Amino acid sequence: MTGKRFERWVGDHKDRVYNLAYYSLAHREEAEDVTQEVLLRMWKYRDDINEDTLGAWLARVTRNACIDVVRRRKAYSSRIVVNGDAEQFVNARSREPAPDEMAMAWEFGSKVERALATVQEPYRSVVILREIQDMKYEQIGETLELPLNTVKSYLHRGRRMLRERLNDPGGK
Amino acid sequence: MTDISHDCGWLRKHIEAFLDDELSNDAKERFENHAATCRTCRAEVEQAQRILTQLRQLPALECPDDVVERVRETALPDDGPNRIREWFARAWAPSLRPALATITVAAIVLTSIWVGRVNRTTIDPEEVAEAQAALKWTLAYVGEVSERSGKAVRDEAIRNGLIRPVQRALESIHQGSDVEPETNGG
Repeated sequence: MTGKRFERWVGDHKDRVYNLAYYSLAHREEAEDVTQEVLLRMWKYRDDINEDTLGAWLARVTRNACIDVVRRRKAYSSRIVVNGDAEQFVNARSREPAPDEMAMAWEFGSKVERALATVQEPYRSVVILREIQDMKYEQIGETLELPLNTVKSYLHRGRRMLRERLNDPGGK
Repeated sequence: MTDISHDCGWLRKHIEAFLDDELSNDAKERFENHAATCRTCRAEVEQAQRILTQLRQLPALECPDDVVERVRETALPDDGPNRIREWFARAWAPSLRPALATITVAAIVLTSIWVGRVNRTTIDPEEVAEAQAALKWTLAYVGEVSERSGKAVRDEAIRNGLIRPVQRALESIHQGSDVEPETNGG
């Protein structure tokens, strides 16, 4: 593959990867790191990837990278709890967006955004792909390798979870 | 007829299908009738609609330029190796294969003549003339094909790697044919 073709792939898909990462993590720097990691994996496996299914491949890799980030967060939080610093634990869990994002975001939109990042996988990815990235059920099924009925049921469950998080932000 | 006054559980079960407009006409009517009479369920449906609307209005974000720049720096640190790879990919394009094959054949023929000269006392000027003609024809052919294909065959690599060595071989033969008769005749 040539550098030019790779640049075209990056241009075509970078925003979608970044959006999925950002709305999965509700954290700008982590979303940037994930996007960079995913695009470099695309470069690494460029000769093995089928361009027709590149979008689905990227969504899968992005989702897995986000899951890894969340796992690392949990591991980090647990270590702090073991050390007995409850305040740090709370701070580690409730990652607030950067002040400039906060100022720009509409309050309710910001709440939805943060609540969405607390919805469990795979429900969260289905909600993001459907409601934010406007993908069709069939595309989501191909991307996440799920049957159509499962996509629909995960979407409904994910939205219910989101409502529960917003109605009761403290409960998980 | 369904008693809609006790439909709270039923409504909650079907709220997602209602939001996606996937209920049958009868079910939709039942849903709306109950929501109209039950304040709690109505509030729940309105909140669900509000959240969904907000979710769908979340902005599409642009990936920051510095992320792309970092990817570019890591994946494509130097254009050199890629340029070489791209040159090979171009050079082996089907439209250029005849030209490269001709160059290769010409190079082999000329090299054979040159090597053969070492063990011979004289070189036939006709052989030199033939080799020169073959080389001129080859160069003209390469030029024509490259013009037609629009590819950068006149790339430095072609000149340095193929054409110039052949030219040097030819010059060497030419010089040999001028000099050797005198040497052998002495």
